[in-house]
Amino acid sequence: MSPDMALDRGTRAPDAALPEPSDARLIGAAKAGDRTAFEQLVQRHYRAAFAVGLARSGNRADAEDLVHDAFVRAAERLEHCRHPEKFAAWLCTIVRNLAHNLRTRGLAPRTTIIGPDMVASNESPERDAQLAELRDRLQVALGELPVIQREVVLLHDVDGRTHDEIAVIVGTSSGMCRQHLFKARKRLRALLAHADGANPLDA
Amino acid sequence: MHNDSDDLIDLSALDPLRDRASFEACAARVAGHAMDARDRSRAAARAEASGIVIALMSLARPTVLAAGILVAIALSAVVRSTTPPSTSTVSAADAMGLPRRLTDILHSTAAPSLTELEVALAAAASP
Repeated sequence: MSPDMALDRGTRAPDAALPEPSDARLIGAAKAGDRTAFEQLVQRHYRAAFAVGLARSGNRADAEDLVHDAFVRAAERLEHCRHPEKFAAWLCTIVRNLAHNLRTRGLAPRTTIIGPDMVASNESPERDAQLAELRDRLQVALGELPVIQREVVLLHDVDGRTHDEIAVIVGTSSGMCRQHLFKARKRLRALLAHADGANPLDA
Repeated sequence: MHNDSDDLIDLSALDPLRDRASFEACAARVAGHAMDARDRSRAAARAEASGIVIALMSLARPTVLAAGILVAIALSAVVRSTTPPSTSTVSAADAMGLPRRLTDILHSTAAPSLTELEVALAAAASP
C-alpha cells in the first residue's frame, strides 16, 4: 500500500490534534440518527469490507455491491452489534454472509451503482487502461489462493491492518495470520512472475 | 521468521481508496443509502409495534369481560367445593313430616298400646 493512500482510522493518527472518535462512539451516534457518524464508519472500514468482499467474490464489481449491502444491513442492525469495538469484524462477517448467499443461492450480481470505480477517474485514459489490466492480473492471481490467504493478504497489504486486527477479523491467531500472509505473498509472486515472465509489481 | 515488509507485493491497484475524492463521494452515498434503510426499517418496526398495540386494545374489553366471567365461575366453584358439609342429618320421616311420636313407635321394638297409637295419630292428623 502506498503511503499516500493510507487511510487514517483514528487509532492510527497519533499526530492528529484531536483523537478520532472510537467506533463505539460513532455507532452510538449513528444509532441516534447521526448520518455523519455512520459516514465516518464507512470511511474507516470500507477498505476492510472491500478486501473481504473481493477475497470472497473475486471481482471488484461484486465486492463493491457486497460492501454496499453490508453497510446497509449493518445500519439496519446496529443494535445487534454487541461489541462495537469489533465493528470491523462484525461488518466483515456480514460481507462474508452476503457473499455466501450470493454464491449458494445463485443470485445474479447486480450492476454496481455506487462503487468508487463508477465515479469519473482523475487519471488519463491510458493510465486507467493500464490500471484495469493490472487489476485483472492481480485478481486472476488472487483467485488461485485459498480464501483465507486472500483475505489476509488484502487486509494487510491493501487495508494496512495489523496482524492482531486481521486475527480478530478472520477469526484466527496472529501467528496464523503471519503464516497466511507469507504463503500468500510467495504464491502471488510466483503466479505473477509466471504470467509475466518478470514481475513489474515488486515494490 | 520472515518480516512483513519482505516480499511486499504492491496491491494498491486494488485499493478502493486509490482515488480519494471518488472514494469520499462513494462513502457518502453508501452511508446515505444505509441510513435511509435504517430509517425505513425503524419506521416499519414502529408501525408494526403500534399495530400490535391497537390490535390488543381492540381485544381488551371483550377479553377482560370474558376473563371476569371465567374468574367468577371459577371462584364460585372453589367456594362451593371448600364449604364444609353439614353435620346435621334429617331423617326421611322428618322430611315427610311425620310426627316424632309416630316415628318413635315405628322405631320401637315394643308393641304400642292403643292409647299411644291414638295420641300419635291424632298428632299426625293435627296441622
